[in-house]
Amino acid sequence: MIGILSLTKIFKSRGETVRAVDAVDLQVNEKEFFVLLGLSGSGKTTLLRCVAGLEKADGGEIKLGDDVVSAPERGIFFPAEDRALGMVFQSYAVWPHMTVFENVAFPLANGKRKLPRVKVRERVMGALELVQLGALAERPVPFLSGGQQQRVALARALAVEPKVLLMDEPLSNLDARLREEVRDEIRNLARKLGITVLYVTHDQVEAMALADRIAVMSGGKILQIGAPQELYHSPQDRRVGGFLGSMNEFEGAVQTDGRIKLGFGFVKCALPNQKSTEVIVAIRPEDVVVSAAPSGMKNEFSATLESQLFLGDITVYQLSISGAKLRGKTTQADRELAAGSAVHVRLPAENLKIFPK
Amino acid sequence: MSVTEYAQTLRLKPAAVNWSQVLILTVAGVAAMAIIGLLITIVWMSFRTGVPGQPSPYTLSNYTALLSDPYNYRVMVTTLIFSGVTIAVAIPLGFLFAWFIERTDLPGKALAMSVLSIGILFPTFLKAMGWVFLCHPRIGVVNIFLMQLFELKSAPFNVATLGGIGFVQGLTLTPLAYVMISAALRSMNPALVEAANVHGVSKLKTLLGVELPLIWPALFSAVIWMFTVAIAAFDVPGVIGMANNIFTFSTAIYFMINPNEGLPRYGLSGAYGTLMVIFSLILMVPYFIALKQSHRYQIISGKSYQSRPVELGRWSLLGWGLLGLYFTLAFILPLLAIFWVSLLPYMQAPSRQALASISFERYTSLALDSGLLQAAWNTLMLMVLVPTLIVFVCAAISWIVTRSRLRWRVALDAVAFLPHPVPNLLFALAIAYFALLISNVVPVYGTIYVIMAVYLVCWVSFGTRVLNNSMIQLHRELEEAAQVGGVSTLRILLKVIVPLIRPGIVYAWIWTSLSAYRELTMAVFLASPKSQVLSTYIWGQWHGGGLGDAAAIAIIMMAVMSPLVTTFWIFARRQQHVESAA
Repeated sequence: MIGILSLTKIFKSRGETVRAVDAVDLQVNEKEFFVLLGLSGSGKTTLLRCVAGLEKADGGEIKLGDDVVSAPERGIFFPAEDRALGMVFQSYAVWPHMTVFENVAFPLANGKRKLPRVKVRERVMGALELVQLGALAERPVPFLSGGQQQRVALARALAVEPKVLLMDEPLSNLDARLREEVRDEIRNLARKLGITVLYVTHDQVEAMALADRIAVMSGGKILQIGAPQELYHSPQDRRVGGFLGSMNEFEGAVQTDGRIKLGFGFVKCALPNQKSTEVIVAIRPEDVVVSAAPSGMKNEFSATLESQLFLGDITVYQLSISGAKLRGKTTQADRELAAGSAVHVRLPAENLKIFPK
Repeated sequence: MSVTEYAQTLRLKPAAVNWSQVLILTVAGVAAMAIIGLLITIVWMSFRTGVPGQPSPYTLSNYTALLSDPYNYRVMVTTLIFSGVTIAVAIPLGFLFAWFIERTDLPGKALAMSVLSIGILFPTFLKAMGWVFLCHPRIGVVNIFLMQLFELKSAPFNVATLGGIGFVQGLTLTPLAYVMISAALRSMNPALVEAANVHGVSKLKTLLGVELPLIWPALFSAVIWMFTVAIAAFDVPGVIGMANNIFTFSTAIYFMINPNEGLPRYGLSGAYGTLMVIFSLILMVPYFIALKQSHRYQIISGKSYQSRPVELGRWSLLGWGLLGLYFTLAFILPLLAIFWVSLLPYMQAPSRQALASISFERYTSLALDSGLLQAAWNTLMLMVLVPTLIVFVCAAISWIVTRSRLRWRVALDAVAFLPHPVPNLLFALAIAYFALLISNVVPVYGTIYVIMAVYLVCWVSFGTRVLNNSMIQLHRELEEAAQVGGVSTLRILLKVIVPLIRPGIVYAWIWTSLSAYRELTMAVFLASPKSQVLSTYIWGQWHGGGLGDAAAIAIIMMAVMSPLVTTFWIFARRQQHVESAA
């Protein structure tokens, strides 16, 4: 539904050129919920704005359905108003001088694809019902809460019945509890309406909760595209792994017998196809197995429990194996363990991730 | 739905021409070209001789005439001294009042602030008239009164001197100085002052050692601004100076176009004008450098935190003493003098005999004066049409400057700013020349429309400053949301942006309307017998010897203006637009 081919956007400021989006290729399928994930400055918002037509790309091609809407090399550029999209903005961007109804109706009554008046009412009320704001239609938007304003913005974007919905960090201005609520609502609506969504966020939890597929971006390039589980468990890039969740990382050297020598001993695991012998071995805290008694399985080391942090649903361990620090995380903490006690730490081979150094 | 169907159902195609952007660009472009065109006209006429429309060779004779006549050097020196006196009066007063109002616990400072801020709108030429009635050596009531009382041989005060007109001009510019300086004081980080106080520095030493050096760049830029205003000032030199043979740049130019005998000398006035344009543009260099410097000291945080005001105690008497003296000299006495004169058949000092001859006869006879009614009608037309058009033009320009990504937007902003530093009377001069030039084809010379045109051109700079400010505060996404919804640029401007910046638009409208009401300088260059406005009607009476009638009309003008200004002030206070009034 959205096809992006070697898209490039360059910003020039005071003689410095920044390749905000650097030859990015991307295919978003029909009805797919696709999330662009990255830190600020990674180029994800610029990419989205290029798709929206709010930025003019400098190179490459953007297709919506079968239509090429941006191809600067061939002089093709559709401005935003000619792309028939829906978009939800970070600041909500609901018009404060209008009521809820007027906000949703404005593009329908004034846009390029105008509807007859009777149909506008029908369409607006339908969209407001979708976001459960039907009862507040006549209220001026400044009298709404942040969450409600964001719903108005969502209804406005859905009312034009777009085939593609763009969302630019729509939840970042909401408080934590509301964020989860609206997030689930967005996910359900997108499923129900069978709409294609391109969604930008810097929050990895949000990304994993929403996405069919995620593209992790950094420095204007895409590091990896994949389903949330795939990215979380098998990141191809250390930055991707680190971005989706915390990791313990150790430097290691691959031995001729296939084992990897770490600072505190040897581990055994499947090695990826790669030439370098200098590697980084990484493991997520929740994959670290901590026990008082040894299990006798491989990749186990004796260690010291330096401290533990009880967070209610989980407990975080601060561990040290012969001086090497690592973090463990579990939902089933052994209540007998106390800070300072000797423990056994196992790094299961199937959970070890190997990256080139 | 398949991908192909998506394309078919939507039939995406971009519009061939973006008409709304074409319209916006045209409006802004015409305004910018008018500004530049009029400036070029000034320079062009300086290289020509004779009356506009006459064939003329290109010549440097105007410049040689300018440089060879000692009269012109006298005008230059007169203007410089006049400006110097003006600055010497306005800046210290403005600074003192700003300090009292912004930094101390002076009781009733809201009132002082209101009077000072709306004082900018008080018609300057009326103040000048009032001062003539007060302190003219022959007709000034103060002089007559004192001479009778103490049996003096000569008048103790004389406002009809260079120092006198500079003093009166200084009084009229004090509110502007106050507004500029108080804005600087307000935006200065109060922690800098508190740091000095906490560490044991006295109030006076802090004022001199911390505050003054910190606002020095702002003060300096205010001085330069005053200077550009003073060298172009027309009202006071025109009302008081001209009749007493004291000529500054502006009145000298007026006299060249309206000589007592002979033909108007447009070429020479063009040479004067060219020099004034160059000079005022050169002055903008240090002005902007100082302004940039002063911004460095401002608080960055959006949250304004109020410093504890200086406790004045008994010193507040001094504050109110100064303010009271200023209000008396600048507003109360001149107005009273005008009112007094308007009631008398001839000039007299207050006495029992004079009181007996008081009557409202002038007012009743003026009510039937058809010339005055025509002038009032013309003024009303300008007060409605000019601000309405200004708002449209400025909305277009400000949108381009703050919202579009056109490469020329910075240049457009600079051009729209030009009428601010360049003396407005030059635009009036240029448009008069231009109207005469085309008078055979388009007979607009001497009509109200040329006056309207020059107001439009000159006040675009004020309007764009206000609307730039409003538009820049609007979140870009409010506009983008409509854009993605398929709404055209013009509709976005009219239905999203304009409603959201309505306070700024209303503010610009009212200010421009009131300016049209009080404006004398530009009107005096362009008004003909059939296109009189109130200010030029008074001007005509004044120089035709009808001082009493001029006074009566002035009182009527003030009576009409006061409720308008009060309404405006209440509105502006509510919209917190006070600072941008400068």
